[in-house]
Amino acid sequence: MITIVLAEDHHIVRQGLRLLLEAEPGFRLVGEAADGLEAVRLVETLHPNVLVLDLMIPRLHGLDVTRQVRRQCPETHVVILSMHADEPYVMEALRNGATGYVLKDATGADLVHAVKDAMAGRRYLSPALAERALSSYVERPGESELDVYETLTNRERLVLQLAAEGHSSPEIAKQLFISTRTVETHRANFMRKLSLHSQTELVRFAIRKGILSP
Amino acid sequence: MNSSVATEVVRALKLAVFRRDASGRLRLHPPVPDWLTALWPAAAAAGESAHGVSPFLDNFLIDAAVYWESGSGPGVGSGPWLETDGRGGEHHLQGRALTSGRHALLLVEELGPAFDERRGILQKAHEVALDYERLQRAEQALAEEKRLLEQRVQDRTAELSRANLDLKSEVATRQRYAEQLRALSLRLVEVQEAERQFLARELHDEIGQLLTGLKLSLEIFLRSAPATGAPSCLEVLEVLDELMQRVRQLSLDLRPHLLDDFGLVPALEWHFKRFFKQTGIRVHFRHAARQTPVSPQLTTAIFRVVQEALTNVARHARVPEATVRLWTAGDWLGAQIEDHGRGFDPEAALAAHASSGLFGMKERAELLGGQFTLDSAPGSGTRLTVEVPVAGTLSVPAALHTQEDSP
Repeated sequence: MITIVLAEDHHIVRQGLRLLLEAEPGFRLVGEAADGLEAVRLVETLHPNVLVLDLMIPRLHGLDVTRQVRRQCPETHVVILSMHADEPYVMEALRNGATGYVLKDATGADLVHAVKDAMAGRRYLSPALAERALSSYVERPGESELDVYETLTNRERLVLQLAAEGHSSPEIAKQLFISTRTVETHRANFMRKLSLHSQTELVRFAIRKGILSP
Repeated sequence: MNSSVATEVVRALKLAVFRRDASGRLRLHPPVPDWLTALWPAAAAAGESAHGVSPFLDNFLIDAAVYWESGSGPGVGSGPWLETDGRGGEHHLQGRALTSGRHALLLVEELGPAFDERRGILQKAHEVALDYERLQRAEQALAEEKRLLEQRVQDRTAELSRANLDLKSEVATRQRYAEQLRALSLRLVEVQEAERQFLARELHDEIGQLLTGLKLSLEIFLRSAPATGAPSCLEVLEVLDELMQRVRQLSLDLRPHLLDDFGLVPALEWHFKRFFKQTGIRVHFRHAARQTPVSPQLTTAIFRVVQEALTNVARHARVPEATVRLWTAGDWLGAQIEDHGRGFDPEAALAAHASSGLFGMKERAELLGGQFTLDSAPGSGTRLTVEVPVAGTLSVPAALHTQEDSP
């Protein structure tokens, strides 16, 4: 017999879930909570095998409920119910100690699976999620570090080059037909972006970048 | 005094000396000066009386006679007068009546070149005086002119400063309007965003949950339903799934919940995946590892700019990929969207407000005190950079908060 506490704030959803879980042989619903704090309290007093928990439950966020339950009643496994199929939600739930993650628009059979797997100490993700996790792993483009120089605008690049060559702001202003103040603004901008603090550092950076020949 | 010496002195002084005899006649006393010979030859030859040779002299002799009769005082003078001789020569003469002992004497002196010179000087002085007067009149006229001019300048200045005041108040009014407009624009953007957020949540949480409940109930019903009702019940379930799908898409179109729960980077990553699915354009995302928590307002603005810029890439650039960069530098948050597509003329594109979202992006950045830079040219791709100051109170998204608490 698997004992279950159900935490879900939406009345209609809770009703449906209750019917679904009670209809499953071998499942016994021992408590119901409509918010996060109540869910934690119920788990602490009832020590169920599984907590079926809505992620977006009020008063205490589902992630916090999961963490507290895992810390205080490690024998209780948490199965998250969520509207969100996006990776960050799933990752956060698993990192906080959830054993299963079931999408709310999946079928009822999914939830039954997840509860049984959790009872056996196995992770369970809705099939849609499992597929997604794999494909996102494959799809993930070769993430590379941000090259800050690339974030510079055309004007900033031009002013940088002239400044590195040793031209003063008024000289640059004359050359680009803009005011000295504008030149100073561009200069301040790229110095900030590139974390440069002196002319020497600027020249060194320009040489490293191949903008200036040493 | 030796008589010959006296004679020499008289000659040197070109004096004509007449002595008055008892009968009142004036007899010329030698030597006779040349000028007298030239002027009155008859009188000179005869050593005759001075009477009757010159009307001016005759006139003077009346005064002189009165003096001689009274026999007292230092003598009387005639003042200079002019005589013309038979050859046209001019002689300036001056007479003096005096007494010397018993003798009554009349001296007539030719004033000569010294007088001419003095007269010239006097004449000159007179002219100068006249000039001076003219000059003074001219100066007065000038001063008057100047006064009038100054008056006009004063009037004009007053007019101008009045106009200037009017202009200043006009400028102030316009600035106030501009500020009000700015505040309104910002408010509008916020209201729109809040509305979107509300609708997205309502659709996702409330309507979505209701549909979920409905679906669960149907599934349970289906288990115990008679076989005859099952096919139509399955159809209803299909429609329900479709409906839930639509509701979720709509909610995400309005506002991705990831933005509120996890912040900018996860929301952008999610958006890039979705964008790839919809357009086939792959987005390379480069961002600095360190993430500074920023206000929801700023997060939303940057997200919307990236979203809008990518929409433009899909519409116009005709490229298979684009790059998005996200960074923080000091107290600034920056984002850049770059493609190597067709490019365009930024000036023209910005001028055509309605057609592109460019103007909206620029306005959004500027409303937050930030900068918007558009680098593009036909044939050389597009780089759009937005930088905004990370100012005001920071609010950390709920999910990020719990993330920080976790070990």
